[in-house]
Amino acid sequence: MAWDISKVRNIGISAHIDSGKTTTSERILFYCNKIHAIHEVRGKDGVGAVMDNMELERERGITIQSAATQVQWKDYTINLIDTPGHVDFTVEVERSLRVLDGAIMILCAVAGVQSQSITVDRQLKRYHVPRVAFVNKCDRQGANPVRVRMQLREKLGLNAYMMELPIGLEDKLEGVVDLVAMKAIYFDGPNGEDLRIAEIPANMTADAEKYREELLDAASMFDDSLMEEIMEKGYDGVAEDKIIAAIRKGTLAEQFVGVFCGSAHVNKGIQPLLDAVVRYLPAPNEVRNVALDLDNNEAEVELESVDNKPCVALGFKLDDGQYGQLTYTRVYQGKIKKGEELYNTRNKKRFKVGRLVRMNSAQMEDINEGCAGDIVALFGVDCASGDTFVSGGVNYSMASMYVPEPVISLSITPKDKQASMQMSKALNRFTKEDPTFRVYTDPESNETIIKGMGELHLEVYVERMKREYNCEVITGKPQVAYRESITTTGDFNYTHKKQTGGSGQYGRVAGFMEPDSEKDYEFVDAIKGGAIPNEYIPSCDKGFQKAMKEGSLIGAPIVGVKITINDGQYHPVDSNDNAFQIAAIGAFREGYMKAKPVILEPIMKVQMTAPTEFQGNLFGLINQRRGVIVDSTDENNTSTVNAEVPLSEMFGFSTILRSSTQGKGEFTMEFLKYGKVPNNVSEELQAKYKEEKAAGKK
Amino acid sequence: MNKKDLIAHSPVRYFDVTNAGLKDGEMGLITAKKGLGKTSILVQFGIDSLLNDKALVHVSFDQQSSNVIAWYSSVLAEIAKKKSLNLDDVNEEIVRNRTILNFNQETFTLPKVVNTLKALKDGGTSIASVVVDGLDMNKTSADDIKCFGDFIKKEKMTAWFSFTNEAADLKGTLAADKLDNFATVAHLAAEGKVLSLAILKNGEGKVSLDAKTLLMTKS
Repeated sequence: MAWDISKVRNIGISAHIDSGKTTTSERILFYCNKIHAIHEVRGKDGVGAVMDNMELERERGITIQSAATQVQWKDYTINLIDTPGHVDFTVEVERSLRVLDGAIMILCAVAGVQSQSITVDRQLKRYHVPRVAFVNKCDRQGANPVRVRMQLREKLGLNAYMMELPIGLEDKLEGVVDLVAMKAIYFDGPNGEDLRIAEIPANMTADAEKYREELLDAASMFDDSLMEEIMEKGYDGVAEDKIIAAIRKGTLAEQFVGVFCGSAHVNKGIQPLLDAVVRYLPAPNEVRNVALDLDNNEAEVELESVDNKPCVALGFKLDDGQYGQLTYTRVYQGKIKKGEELYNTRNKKRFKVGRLVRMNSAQMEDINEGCAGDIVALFGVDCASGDTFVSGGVNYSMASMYVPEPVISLSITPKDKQASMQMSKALNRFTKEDPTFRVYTDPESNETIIKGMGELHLEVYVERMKREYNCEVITGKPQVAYRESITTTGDFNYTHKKQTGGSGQYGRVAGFMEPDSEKDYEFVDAIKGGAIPNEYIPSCDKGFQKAMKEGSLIGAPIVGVKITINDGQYHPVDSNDNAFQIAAIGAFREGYMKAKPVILEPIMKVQMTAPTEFQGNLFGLINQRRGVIVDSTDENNTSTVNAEVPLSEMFGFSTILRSSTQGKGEFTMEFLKYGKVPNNVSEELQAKYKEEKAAGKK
Repeated sequence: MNKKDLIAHSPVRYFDVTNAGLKDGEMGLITAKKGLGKTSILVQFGIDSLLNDKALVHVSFDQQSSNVIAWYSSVLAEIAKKKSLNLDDVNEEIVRNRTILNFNQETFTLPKVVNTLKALKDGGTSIASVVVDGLDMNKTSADDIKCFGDFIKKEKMTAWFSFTNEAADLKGTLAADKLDNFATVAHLAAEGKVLSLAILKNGEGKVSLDAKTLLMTKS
């Protein structure tokens, strides 16, 4: 098929965990004839969904890695990226969004807008990704897509309108009413593959007309001629394509979200959703993409989705397959051709494009070239995720992706010698793949420490080591990433002097430090009259930064400090860079203790849901964990409790929640902020730190 | 120090002079027509409790939690602005002592709210004051109000309710069997350009509301 960029859609599926992303993707593959049978996510049939291409995912029923796949729908090419819903893997979501032009936002018809829907919404807004919403699970008890649409408006501030109404709900879900065409759509055949278009059921016409009027009024805001046509011919007389064009305009401007509904699980509503993707979501050349010119002070350069310009592509995801490293790449400009040379602007290395493939979940098709707007995969390229590949002499980098800092760490020890060798291989790969997964060796204990975004995040990597690398490790107790900070102003005036024969050292540094809520560290040079010569100012800065790596309370990194130096002294012979660095370290420690230091801990935003009868238990669990209940909402016999809880109190929470709610409770958690630890906890942590220090562990 | 200043400048101090404040175990009712500032008054009572270290539960039947949180932030900011007070530490304390409950009038009744409050207490949350905003008193039975009042009395809490009603006299507000449960009733109305809160039951006098900030002020 000839490459027509206007007929390409790069889309992702973003949603709260368990909203049915993978099931929806699976149905999309099925209706686009990519697969010829439907399997359940949890693999009851022993096969598992195609998009969940890792054994571990099949078992857990969650999608950990986004798998890219290309499908054909009518005469359109859709590159589909299935993204993980669990917040612990948010970096995967972020990465996918960076390369997508549009998204399907899936919501559960029962639970509606949940905590992660809010996270996903924030991400879509951050990357300016237009979207359509799909209210899934309309076959579940308590389903109410109209209520979910209201929540999209109220909770997320989206200009959301029903594009369809469900015909029947819960176990009586039969099909949908298309409010643009004003027709009923039924999904016949064993897997809902046969669409039957019919008249709207009589008992629904009044509702359909009401919601259509609402929809057309909203759409007419984006097209004056549509407004005129409504006035002239009334709501029934408007041409379908005019309505679609107006809605498309609103969607692309991120000022309109069409709400579709159905149930992937019972094969209802997916084909109209695919129509919505091609109708309302943008083609690659309708999206503004910007690169940074590294040869011109990182000035922004607008990229063009054309084939005859230098190639600019982004490697957004790595995967280690049986044939070596696979790099999922989005082509923004120009073409990637097999056998052609590309340049990695981060590591400044040239490489030849070897095997080039297009992915269908875990299966691949060999191709000779990838055009602007396409998503392809390269074989055997030495790179990290987020690298930019260019040709034709340009030196561009795609804007870097936002990567959150890890909040939890775990020590891991290989079980035996063979595991030890495999472990470094595995860790090397995982850190390349996932920027939120970090590894370092503790210089004192010599232990290997892995860091990540949550317990599950680290758990999954430990499990993957075992399965994919045959490497068993013993894990330590999870450790929270504490920080230290100051609460008031502390001054310092410190002299470092060593003048006892031989070459001496001399430096005096004076000034003050104060809390800074905006930045982790700020250094202000307010030295007058050369009390400290200019050449030693960077030495002071360096010394302060070194001192901040390890606080005096528990040895944690120090954040939120603004340091001003306003006086000092030097010696014409004995002063040097090192002397002033040491003086600054001494000055910092002197001021730090005066500035009333405190310990900070990561506080997580936790959302729990359970049947209302367990509401008291939810409250109790939060209170037992030093948590703060922010709010609680009751709807349809389901309680949702939002709370802020220290991460250190959340270890093993899923088991505890299950046992206190007869297995009916669910929770999600994401990092919110760093907060001060209470005095008793602070004392405990300090005592433990002193003990470990005395024992020589620190 | 800062908190003392905030308490001293709390708009509720203007209300104190009417002697219509609630004692432990009592409930109060603020009536007004829609959109005049009932929520603001309830939030002012709520903030005053929080500043006095009394843990508060804010029950809302008609607003999202995020809107309720925004109400507290803006009212507190207005109080602080008057005397350029710093809110950093106070904000954190307020969040720690405030719980917001969100219910749907269609599916939730006052006895169910009582159950939730009991569950909160059993879970270890201390509650000294409650505000209930947006409940349609016309759809609430006298028995349900009494059930809630009994709980407040037993637990020695205080509770303020809002009620959308235009009547400026006690008779026009609620039926006697419902009204009996409230120690204090006050009606908010616009008199020309001035908003004032008139005490209809328990205490006497009026309190004005600043038309711009909706904070209680000198009459």
